[in-house]
Amino acid sequence: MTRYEFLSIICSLIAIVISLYSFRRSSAIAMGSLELQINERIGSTKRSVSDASRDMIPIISKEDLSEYEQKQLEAYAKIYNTAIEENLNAYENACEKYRDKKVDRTRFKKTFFTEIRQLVENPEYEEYFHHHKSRYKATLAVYEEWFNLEK
Amino acid sequence: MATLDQLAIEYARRILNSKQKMIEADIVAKEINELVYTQTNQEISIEDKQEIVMKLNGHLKSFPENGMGLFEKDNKEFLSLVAYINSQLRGRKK
Repeated sequence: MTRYEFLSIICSLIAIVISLYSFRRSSAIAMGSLELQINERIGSTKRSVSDASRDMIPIISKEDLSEYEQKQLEAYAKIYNTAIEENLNAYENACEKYRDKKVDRTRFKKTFFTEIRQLVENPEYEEYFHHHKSRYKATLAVYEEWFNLEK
Repeated sequence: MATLDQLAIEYARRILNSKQKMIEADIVAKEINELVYTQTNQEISIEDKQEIVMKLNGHLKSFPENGMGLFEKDNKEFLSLVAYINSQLRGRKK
């Protein structure tokens, strides 16, 4: 092997190491960016639920409602339920990313350990998380993985 | 200086007994950052600070009335709002 051939091999190896490092770094950055998006989406959907709740307060705090107020409340309730579903969709999307290993799984579990349990075990959400009918499969799968101690 | 574990237990008790837990946690974080070794009066190492935080997290989770660590988010307030609104809406259904 000539000196030039040897140097050429060394340069190729250095280039491979640099591109591997850049790939890992950009993967880590992409992962971090995705985690931010997940947190922002969950936070944003919670705010939507709070906003929808706040809009209803003047009406639900009344004893008797006029026909107009009853119709208003029905409309607000639909908006509120849509916001709840959007929030659950946000968690579902997050859990899908966790299962696909697109986020740091250790950090995800640390962050969402309590939230996921509170969500699935909440009696108010029983209709959403009924095992056979639920469309929130990823959320249930994550809950089973973390909390089903019998497995 | 107390052992790292003793410090972590004391910090955990302070946070749990405080009426403003987030503020107390901030104060504890500052104290951990300013800890010094008794013998040398030098700031404690980053590794020791990290160990205190991890032990503190473990103690917070182990207290029966808490069960939650430092890094976890909590949905309690949000879900209590949902429960309240749902109960109001159920009460209105014809």
